[in-house]
Amino acid sequence: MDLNTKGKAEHTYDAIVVGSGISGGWAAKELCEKGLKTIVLERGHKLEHIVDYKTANSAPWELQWQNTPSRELIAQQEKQNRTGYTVRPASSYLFVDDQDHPYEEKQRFDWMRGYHTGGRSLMWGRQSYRLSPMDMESNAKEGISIPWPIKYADLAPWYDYVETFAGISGANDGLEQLPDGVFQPPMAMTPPELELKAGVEKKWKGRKVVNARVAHLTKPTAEQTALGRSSCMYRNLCIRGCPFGAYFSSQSATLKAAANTGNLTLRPHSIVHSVIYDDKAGKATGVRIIDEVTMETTEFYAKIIFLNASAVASTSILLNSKSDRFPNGMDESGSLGGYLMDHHLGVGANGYMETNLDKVQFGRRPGGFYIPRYRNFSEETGKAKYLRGFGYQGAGFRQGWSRGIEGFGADFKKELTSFGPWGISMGGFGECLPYENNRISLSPDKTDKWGLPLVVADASFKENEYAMREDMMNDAAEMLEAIGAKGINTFKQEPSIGMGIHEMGTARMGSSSKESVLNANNQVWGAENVFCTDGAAMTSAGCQNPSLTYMALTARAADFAISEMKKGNI
Amino acid sequence: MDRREILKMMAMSLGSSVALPESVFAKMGEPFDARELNFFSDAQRAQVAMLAEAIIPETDTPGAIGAGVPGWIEVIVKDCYSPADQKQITDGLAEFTMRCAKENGKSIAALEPAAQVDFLTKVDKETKDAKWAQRNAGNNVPDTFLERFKELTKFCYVNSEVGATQAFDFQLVPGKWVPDMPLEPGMKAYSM
Repeated sequence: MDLNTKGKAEHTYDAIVVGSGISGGWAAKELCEKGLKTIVLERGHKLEHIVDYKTANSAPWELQWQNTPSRELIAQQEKQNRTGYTVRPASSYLFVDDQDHPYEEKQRFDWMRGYHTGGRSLMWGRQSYRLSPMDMESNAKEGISIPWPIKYADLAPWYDYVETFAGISGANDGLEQLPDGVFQPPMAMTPPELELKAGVEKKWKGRKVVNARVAHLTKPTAEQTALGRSSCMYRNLCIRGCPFGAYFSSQSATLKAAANTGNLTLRPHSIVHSVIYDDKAGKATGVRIIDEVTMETTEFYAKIIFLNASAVASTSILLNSKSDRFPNGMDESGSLGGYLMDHHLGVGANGYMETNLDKVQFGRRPGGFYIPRYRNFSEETGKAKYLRGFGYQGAGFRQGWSRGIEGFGADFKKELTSFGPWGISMGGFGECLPYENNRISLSPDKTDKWGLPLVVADASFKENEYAMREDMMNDAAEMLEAIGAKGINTFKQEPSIGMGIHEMGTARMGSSSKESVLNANNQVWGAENVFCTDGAAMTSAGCQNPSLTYMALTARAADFAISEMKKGNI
Repeated sequence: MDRREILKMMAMSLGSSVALPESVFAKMGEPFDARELNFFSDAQRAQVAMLAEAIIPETDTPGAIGAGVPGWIEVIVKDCYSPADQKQITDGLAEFTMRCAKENGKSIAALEPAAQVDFLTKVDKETKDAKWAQRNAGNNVPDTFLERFKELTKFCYVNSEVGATQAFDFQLVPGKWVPDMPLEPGMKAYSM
């Protein structure tokens, strides 16, 4: 559909942001606050903060099948169900209908998506850790893949900036491998967690057990209160959306701030097909979209474009953006689509403690403890037979009704309605190396109902990832043994790429246009008014939950974009 | 079949020693209508209720029947279970009922509480032993009928309004986090 002059003017903004998820919300906020008329193109439907969280206050008996998924629900969302917890009556409407959103798996790829305002920022795990200097130097030191084109020091002030606005509960632990930050009060550890900390730190000098760092408010700032957010109520029903705005999401925080400027337009049902590149001008001029509902194609124009559709989706847009300059998609290095990474998990140990039985927790705390990487880190922590390392997330609670209880009748019922011992468990998150042949590409012949080529995933975890999983399991058991935990049980599931829901890479940052898609400022090489600041940009994965890093990259790139615009460079 | 007729049938199969309160259906509010239940036969429905109540009986708080557990069990088995798992439930109910009649001369509901527990414990042990013998021989058999029915009963009880709010401590909005509150004797466990 060719727009006439008037139509074109109506579709022209200062900035376009593709995607309203955890990084898109940040791009919108930063650009709007700096005075740019910004349109956020969200492919999914509008989901209003609080009003549309329809199950947020539902008691179990108010949910179909007491929140057990039906066969029909699972058949409809078979891939979204692979995690084992996303497809439930309370939350399944927040994950995509797999029938409408198919993709090809040359190797198994578990692709969890939320297509609505805020995307997965509504359902995310909220654990928020900075990458460390070590993480950002790993590729360079080990000669793996390409080095990051930026240093930790370049990101540090931006981590400060995003943590301050988002609100992160945690403690400053003074650890090199997990940099300190700007935190609200941490959520205190339970007795077994304190026992774990004391026991582990005494036995292994290099291992630390610290408070989890989670994007939940424990002491809201004036800015957060002004946005209508309040402290965490310890319900742990976060996946349903929070009526208190207590955890960070696009809806509770960044989109609100963006809207408050009066510069934001949010257009839902807007599936971006490609970036429009003007070969003569040597820059992008806008994007082509297909309306999800009407199926109509139209264009939007802007001086700068931020791609924040999520890693695989942003890369797909770049792959689909063909022009004379970019006949194979917006990349000249050949690296676009390659180097897909994720964290591998489903490995660790659990047990129980019979100390402190005169105490019980009150409340359902959304973050427990974190054990930062210790392998391949220092002399004290040894040199493992693999590169990189892993961290653990864990918690210790008085066991409740879901524990195994022997017996029947009145005695069984009495035991059932009493507290069990303190259960304690930890699961590892392992780093994945960037491999050239872990690829995302577009199908040459298969399309979805909007005519967009299907994503083809061809990626797997490899030797290095499998090798570290032995330690991830054994170390966890060893730590529980050290504190006298009983009934220790280890687990090590077959890992699956995508299951971490931290899929990243495929449009990596680098120092040269010959080997990367993005430069040190997240600009697309050759199209410097196009930025990509979601997971696609990641040059290496670390073992830390990555969303905080996407926020920092976004805020930094938006600041750069504005300054370049002022200088007339883009 | 309406509620009254179902209750009459259940009362008949339960025998005179057990009163079957109206509340077997009373606590099943939204989100499903008990009148739409059509998975179990009337006889099976009675067997489900009897076995669930034997597992979680009325004490100082309502038991499985008083909490509406039979209805929840039926709707979950109907809509959520695979055909194989559904068959394990219906076969298991039949086998359990026959065994109880054969060994005790009466239905589970007609036994005294101590005898109920003894019989359930005996069946549980024997069927679990058989399961482990199979698994140790390399046959990957599922958990037993009684194990799974017990877990289902437990789940449906804890997540029912009566069970969650009367037998347990129900906290939809705790509002605060205390890592180490003193645990007083008799304090109820959390249902969520």
